[in-house]
Amino acid sequence: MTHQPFTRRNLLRGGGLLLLTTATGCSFFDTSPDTGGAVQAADMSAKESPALAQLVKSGKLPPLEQRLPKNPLVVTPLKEPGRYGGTWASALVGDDDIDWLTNTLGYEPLVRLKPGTNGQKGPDDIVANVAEFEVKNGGREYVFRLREGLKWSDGQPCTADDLMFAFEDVATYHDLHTTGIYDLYLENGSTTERVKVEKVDDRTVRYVYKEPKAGLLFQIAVATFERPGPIGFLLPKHYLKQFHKKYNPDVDQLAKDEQLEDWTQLFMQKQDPWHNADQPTLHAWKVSSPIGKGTALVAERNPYYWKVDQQGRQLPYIDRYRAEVLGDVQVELLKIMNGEIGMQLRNFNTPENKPLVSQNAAKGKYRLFDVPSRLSNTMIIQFNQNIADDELRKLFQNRDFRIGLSYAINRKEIIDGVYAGQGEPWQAAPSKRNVVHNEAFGKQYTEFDAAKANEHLDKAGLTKKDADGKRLGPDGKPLIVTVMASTEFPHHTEALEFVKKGWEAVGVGLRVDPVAGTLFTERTMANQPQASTYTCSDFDIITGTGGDHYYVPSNSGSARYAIRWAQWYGSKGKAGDEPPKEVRDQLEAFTTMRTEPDTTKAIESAKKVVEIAAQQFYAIGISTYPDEYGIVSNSFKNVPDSMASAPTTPGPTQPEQYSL
Amino acid sequence: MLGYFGRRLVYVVVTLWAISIVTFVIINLPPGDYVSTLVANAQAGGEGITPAEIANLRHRYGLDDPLLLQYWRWITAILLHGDFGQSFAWNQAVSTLIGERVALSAVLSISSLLMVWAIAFPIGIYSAVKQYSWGDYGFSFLGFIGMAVPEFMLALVLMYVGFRFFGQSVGGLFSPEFQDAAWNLGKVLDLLGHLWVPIVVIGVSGTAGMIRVTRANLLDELYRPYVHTARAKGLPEWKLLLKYPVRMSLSPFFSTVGWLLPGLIGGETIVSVVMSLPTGGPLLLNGVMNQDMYLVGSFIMILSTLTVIGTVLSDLALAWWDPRIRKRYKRE
Amino acid sequence: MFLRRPTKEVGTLPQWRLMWRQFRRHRLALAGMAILVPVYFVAIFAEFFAPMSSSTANTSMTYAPPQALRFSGDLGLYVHGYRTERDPKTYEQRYTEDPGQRIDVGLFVHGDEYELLGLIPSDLHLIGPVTKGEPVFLLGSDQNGRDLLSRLIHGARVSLSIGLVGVAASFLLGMLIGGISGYFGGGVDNAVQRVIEFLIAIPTLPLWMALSAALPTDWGPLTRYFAITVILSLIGWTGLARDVRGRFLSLREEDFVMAARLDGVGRLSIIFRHMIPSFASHIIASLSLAIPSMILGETSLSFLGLGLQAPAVSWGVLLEGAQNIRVVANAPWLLAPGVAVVIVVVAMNFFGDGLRDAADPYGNRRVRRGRRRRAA
Repeated sequence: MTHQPFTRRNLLRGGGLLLLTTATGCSFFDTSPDTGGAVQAADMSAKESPALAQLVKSGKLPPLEQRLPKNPLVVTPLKEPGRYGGTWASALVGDDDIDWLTNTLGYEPLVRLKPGTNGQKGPDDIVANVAEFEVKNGGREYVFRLREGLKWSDGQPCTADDLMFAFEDVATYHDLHTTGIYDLYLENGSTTERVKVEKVDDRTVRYVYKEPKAGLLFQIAVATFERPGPIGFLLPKHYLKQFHKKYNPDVDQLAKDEQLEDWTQLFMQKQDPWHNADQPTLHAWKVSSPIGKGTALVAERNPYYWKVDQQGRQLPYIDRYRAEVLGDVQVELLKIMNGEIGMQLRNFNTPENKPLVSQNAAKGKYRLFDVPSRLSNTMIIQFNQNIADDELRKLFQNRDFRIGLSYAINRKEIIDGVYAGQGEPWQAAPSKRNVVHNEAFGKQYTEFDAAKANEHLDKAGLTKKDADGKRLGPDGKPLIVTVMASTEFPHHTEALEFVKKGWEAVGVGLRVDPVAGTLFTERTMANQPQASTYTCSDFDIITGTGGDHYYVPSNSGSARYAIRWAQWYGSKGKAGDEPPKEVRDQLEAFTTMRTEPDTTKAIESAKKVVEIAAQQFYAIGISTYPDEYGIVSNSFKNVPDSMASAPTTPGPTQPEQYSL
Repeated sequence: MLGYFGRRLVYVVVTLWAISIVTFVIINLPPGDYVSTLVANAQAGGEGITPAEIANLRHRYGLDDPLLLQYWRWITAILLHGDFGQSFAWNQAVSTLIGERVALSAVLSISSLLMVWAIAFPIGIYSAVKQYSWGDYGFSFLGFIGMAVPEFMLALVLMYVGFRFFGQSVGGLFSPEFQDAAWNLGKVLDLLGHLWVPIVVIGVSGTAGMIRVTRANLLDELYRPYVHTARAKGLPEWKLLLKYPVRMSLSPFFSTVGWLLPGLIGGETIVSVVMSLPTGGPLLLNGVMNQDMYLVGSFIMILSTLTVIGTVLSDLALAWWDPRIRKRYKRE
Repeated sequence: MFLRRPTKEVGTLPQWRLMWRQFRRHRLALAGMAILVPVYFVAIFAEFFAPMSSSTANTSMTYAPPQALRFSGDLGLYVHGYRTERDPKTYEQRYTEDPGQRIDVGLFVHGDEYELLGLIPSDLHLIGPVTKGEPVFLLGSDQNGRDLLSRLIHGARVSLSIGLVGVAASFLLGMLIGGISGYFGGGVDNAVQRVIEFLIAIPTLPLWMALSAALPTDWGPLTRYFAITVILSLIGWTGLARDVRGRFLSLREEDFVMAARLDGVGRLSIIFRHMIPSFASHIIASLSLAIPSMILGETSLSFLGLGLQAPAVSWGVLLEGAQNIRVVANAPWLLAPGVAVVIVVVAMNFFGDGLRDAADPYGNRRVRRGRRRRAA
């Protein structure tokens, strides 16, 4: 069926399904899949995909040399050069499962993480991608130079103007950010003073800060700017300007025509690569059928993709990417077991599912690969240090109270009964993989010892007991702590049952309050819960965001044990409650860590932060988090057997060099 | 009679207005909004969001405006422009989102309904006429079991059976190889292969219920004096049965038949969730979970409108079916 | 006098005796009752009938398959123990039955302590391991190593009782309001119809979510669920009301109602003595469908994450925990609560069916006719 070379493309573009039934020459009464005669290539010497070569031949596409930049990025395939063709079958669970797309299709930031790293080692882990970069003046000046001749997926040149557009007209444009802009674009400590950005030449832009801006490169490299929202570091100006008020005065009318309120909504819609297939891109595959249209997101190879393998063959190897939007994770699991998924590491990969996924590997013709978790604890119990009730606050702030309750927990039982024997007892401390790993912190108060528990609880002043041996709280009634748990983590409710047993044995009651995720957040923000559970992320030096609020009350949205201290920190003392001296010292060390461009010095400050966290003992941890895993079809090549646990995994493993 | 339905129409408008208010209040009753969902998701993914970003998001979605203003904006857009607003999560017009799902929801609802009727009426009539026969017991037993199995369990087990023993691709509408293929017999068969499970799952409980109601209604009518009279007059048994008791026993169907209308777009939420079918149900459920305000609000408004219209249609159908009620409408 | 007595006895059989007579004729209804009575009995005294408490966990025995209960003359009741090993790569726990290991099972054994009906402290269990804490899982164990049989029995109490209240409330309302609407007609009917249309159109799903978020936290999950059930039943009477109204509308035109009215019988009397009895069977049929659908509703809501949540124990909660491929593939015994739901719902339906027939005045006539035929 190769005599009709364009049928497939037309088919996918136009979707004129019935019309083409006849054009492909396949009978309607044929019962085998009629894919319109896909072009199969076995020729390993071709520099580009046969489908593209055909287009070039017929004059519909410029030749490869004109499409590639002068210095295309050379990617060395992990194991072997691949063949052109095939579809990467994947899945989304729910229509808001955007991160998976960002991490597979959308990981093309200006600079990227070196394959196999997670950025913890600082600048060494970061390499050029779309742009080459230079850091000058002790981390105050960042110069990005786009590849010469780089083109968007529609063939238009990608230039410094696109960088300037993204910064001036999107990321810091007032109408799109009425209540404040992202702090990486701001001078340290300011909420209004923007970084100075200059266009040096046609493809070079310079960002100049007054103080060192640690973490900028890392944020770029972990795709912070590729996530949904009006951020973006590099955007196609020639396409987007028609939806921007500054360039198109009639844009409000356009928005009205699309039943939108104002142009910002329209702009957001057009700027969203997963819901709008018209926007040109630099990604290896360009979305052809967006989310919300049909039951799957489909992306086709980008003919202007700017990476080649070491033989100069244009990437990606795989033709198309197809992520079916599923409603339920169980269906994803069945599809994996049935061998319908090419490569996936999301949603299905809970520790509980591992036996089932392993058992069916032969039947489904796939293998498993390991990804260390980015979490350092399965469950931590955080007592609200800022709760409004004076008596309770005094009790919760008492370290002996928390230490006593920590000793009362039989962690071995929870690990066996809830986490299938995976992991070891661990506090809310950095993981063993972390640079600031602190064994003593992780192990402190983790042994199951009722005598020690009673000793510390007595020391905490809970000496009065009723006839049943229940300790009496400050109000003279038996003490029962209500622990809020999010239903997103069903294992927390299970684990809390075991915690409850342990606590009751030393005279402290526990009431589990399972609530939906949003309600959980709302109550936390309103400083209502007595105590709440969550998983614990690993400590993160480079950005100082991520999971650091588990160790230091830095973020008033998620430092669940001390929302008001975090508010105090965030507002520079204008709101919230002033924390005690030790916590203030810790926050100061944290600030130093965040602004220190020298990685070695930053680690020193980080160690201090963690040390104080160990003394403060904000949260009671249960156990280390088991490794995560993904699956990859046996037909997939160049997928590593284990991946680093970066926020954007598997992006850093370079999906463009996967092949079928 | 026309006057009667004219008046009904006025009430419909008032009812819908009341519903729009209640709907809006209910959506906003739980603490939090779509932004809290975003924040919760970000935190579950290990990211922190600063209060400034949160405020920014709220402002962008207009969630920091007073509730009354939000309501006003929403309802006037619907009334004046037929604009049902935007889904936050999808960044798309609600009408588009629902429109894309109507076809499949309708196909599922109608085909399972047809299945239900085709099976339930004959069996129901048989069960009533042959009350306490072995056939009656047998059908009752099967029917009750069908009614008693939780839908989600049945769907999951059937899916697993399909996977384990038939190697069938599960969930969704097509197997991977047919996803983007052109329509041919194979694709149609593949679609049917995927659709039978949800239709059966949805139909099973409905069928059982319908059998019970048909049987019960018919039994109420079967031993009425007019039946004896007709029998005494020598009407053939089957004619007698179909002409009067069956007809009378169908009245209750007509008082509820209109409610099928909202089902056409609402779809069967649970089955669709379990089997990943792109009907309207999961869209609404996700919207509710995410507090995607305009999606949920408008979806519910559309459902409510259909329900109210369905009720009117029901009454019309009832009047058409039952002469006694028709007479009363005329009198009014 | 001696001669008259039997005649009198026959003539004054109370209504419920008549119904019982009729009910007995429905064999499946009897079977349904024979299932329901013991099930409710077990549910009420759950602590005694369950081998363990609902939270007792043996964490080294997660996902243990059911053990067969064995009996031998000299050894009494016992089960075989398990040899377990954990796969070091997938962490799967594997079980092999070990015939050499015998765990004695006894009747009326001492085990977990409890307070029967919240009053009488005891530790007696109908059946269980003779030595407290030995692994005996007659229906297998769940993901945390808890005995499924015990949880099933404890869950029955919530599942079987909580819906009854809701049905009862919506039933009374539906009858009353539907009856008033249908009987009086005109303005009253109109007003009621508008209210019904309005209530029907209120979406229950978001309402349920809103309520579960808005109720106070210190209420505990069970109280909260109960409160929501009651509130929902207050708006759930509409379907029945419409049905009843439809019936009234047709009945109003019937001769016997007209006759009663012309006789000067009071309105209430007409409704309750003449009209309602004439379609009671239809109502009982609806009711017999409503209770089991409440039980099913409980499971569905738990599945959607809107109903009861663990650590509360109900059949819905148990089924929700079992609602994944992992269980269907590797631990199918955890679907047992689903089987329990099916059995109880079927039994209830048959029971209701029998009631319906027993209350059916025309059905009685037919039976009499049948009897005559047999006599002849």
